[in-house]
Amino acid sequence: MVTRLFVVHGMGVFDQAWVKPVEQQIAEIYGSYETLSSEAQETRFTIHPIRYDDILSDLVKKWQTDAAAISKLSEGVSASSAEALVGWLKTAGEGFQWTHAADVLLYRCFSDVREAVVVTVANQMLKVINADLKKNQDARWGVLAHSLGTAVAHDSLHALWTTEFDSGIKISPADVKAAFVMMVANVSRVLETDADVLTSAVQPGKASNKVRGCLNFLTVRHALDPFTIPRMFDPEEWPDAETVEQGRYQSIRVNHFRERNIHGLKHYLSHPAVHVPLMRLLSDQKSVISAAEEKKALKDFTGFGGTPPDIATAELKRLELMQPARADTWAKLRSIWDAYFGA
Amino acid sequence: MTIRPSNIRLALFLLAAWLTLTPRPAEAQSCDGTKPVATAAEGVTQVRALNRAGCLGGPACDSPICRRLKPLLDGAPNRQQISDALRAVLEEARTVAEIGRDRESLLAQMGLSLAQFVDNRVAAAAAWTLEGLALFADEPHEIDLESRLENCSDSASCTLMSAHAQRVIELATLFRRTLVKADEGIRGAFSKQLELLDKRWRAYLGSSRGQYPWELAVNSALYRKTAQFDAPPTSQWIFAHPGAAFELSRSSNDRQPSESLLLEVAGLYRWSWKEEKMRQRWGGSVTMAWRDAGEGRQKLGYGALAYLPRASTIGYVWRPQDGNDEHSVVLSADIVKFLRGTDGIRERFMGASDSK
Repeated sequence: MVTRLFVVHGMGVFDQAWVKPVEQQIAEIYGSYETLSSEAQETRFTIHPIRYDDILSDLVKKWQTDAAAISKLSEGVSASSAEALVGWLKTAGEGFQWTHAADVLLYRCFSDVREAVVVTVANQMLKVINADLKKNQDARWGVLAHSLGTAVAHDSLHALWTTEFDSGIKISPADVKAAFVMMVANVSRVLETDADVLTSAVQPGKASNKVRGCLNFLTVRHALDPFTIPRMFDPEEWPDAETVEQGRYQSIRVNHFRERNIHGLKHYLSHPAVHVPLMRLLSDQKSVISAAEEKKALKDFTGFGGTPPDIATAELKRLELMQPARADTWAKLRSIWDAYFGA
Repeated sequence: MTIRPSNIRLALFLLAAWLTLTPRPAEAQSCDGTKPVATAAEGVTQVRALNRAGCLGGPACDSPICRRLKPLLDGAPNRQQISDALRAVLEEARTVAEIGRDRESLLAQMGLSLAQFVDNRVAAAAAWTLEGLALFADEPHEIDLESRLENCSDSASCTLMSAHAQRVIELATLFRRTLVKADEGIRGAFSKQLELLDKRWRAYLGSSRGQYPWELAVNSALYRKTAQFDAPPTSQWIFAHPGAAFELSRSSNDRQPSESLLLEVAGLYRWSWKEEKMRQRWGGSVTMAWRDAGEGRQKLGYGALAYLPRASTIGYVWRPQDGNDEHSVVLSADIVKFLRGTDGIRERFMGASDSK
């Protein structure tokens, strides 16, 4: 039985081929473990990218095009008020503020944009799930979401498991359950809107549980990733002590520094503490990476990688200085962006 | 018709070629689970490999019960056929420990009666999910096949345990597959609705009147979103919306449409949905309009716009000018393009404009 892995991207620009580097990294990780790679990767899992950036970027591009046209026309008629209205949109789509920050802003603040994103993500997933289940009713699937994608994946899955269309058509976690949901650089709580992330359907539980959508839930956070700190997703004994005891909920912390963008998915996945549980869940087999192999991988993994220690230390100090408070809200994200990417 | 030897030879040749070239199903070989295993580890590996290959109740399974259920799992069974299939698997499980021997008590532990299970399919399909090699993981009635396999001591007992594990997995998988199959229609209907919503949302953001950020903010604030999938709106407020259009007026020297910059102060745009298309679009707004008056001067006017079907716009603008007020017709680019291609109509239209 091959597991289908849905990968949901974060903020930024993502074209049709965005998942290639992720696939490549996962293939490299896969090849680095002996037992795991004793069988071809495609016999264990396949990767399916989920894309919603087109909705956000199309909107921003349209603003840019319209604003440029209006500005040009307003020059001819000296209509400074129109220019004042749209002038700032002429650079829409350019620069970090538009390619990254606008994604978060559009998703968090504009409920209709959010709904369009949630619907398209769930639709992409369900189409594949249905096709897989048609071929093999025992098909298995999981979700790997990153950054903004954690909020998007959460909202999409919750809606998938709780919506009842007209004439009572609904899909229940009792029938369509994810093998796992892995939230990397989890910002689902700080971007929480319509559904409470701690009580929604996106919770881990036993196979027989009819309201919890996944069997396993992993949340991953870098100790110094500033985006994950405001309203941190860090529940204890969640969703209950029994589930934690069963190992169905795992909170993974890492603190390595191998590149400046510690928020990036690639940087997160490079750590064995992150990719070992992922590979085990994808293979539905804990022993596919033995405890000894895991121990060795963790031992061999140097926190700084090839980064000179003095540079790494300086960067870590910089990150430490920009740490927001856990009580901060999503509004704080703007200043974090400026500090994180502007410096 | 006579059968010629050459035809027979040709037929035999084709048959031989078919037998040679047609690949035999790989699973037919890989699904042999009867091979003895020497150790517990071998047994675990064997069971895992067979399960991953879909041999244990999966699509590659070729046991009698799998063959019996295959048409149902590949087809479109009705409710009765699903119940019959569940009953058949239960019957098949009669001799298998944990599931069969105490099947009533197992179902009781799951909080079900046989009737509930078979006829009403109360048991969730997901409940039969295998996690690793554990069935009903973390339940009081958990069946951890890996632990049991690891307890075997010699080749005979490990082979026996492997066969037993294979059987349990096969039956659990068949239960799960049958229950999943039972809801295929519902999933399909749900997916269809979701697909329609996706198309409508894309149409709303892409085909309705463009919304600037401040308009999107207003319309978002008015949109009532829930935590479930919601339908896109059927109306949109226009607010401080700049746009380009063409104006036709009597004062125009060459009677050609002139470019005009609009600022729609406020308006409303409405439509209804037919499948994924926006239909019956209508609406209007009050607007300000600037037109180049030459020599660096601009003329500001006030008026109203009406939104026509197919996203076209037509409107009227008035410019007060000390007893010589100017009246213009405002047209969206698509209408002007149309008029430019039909001179006769344009002339008649210009006449209409002059008469204001």
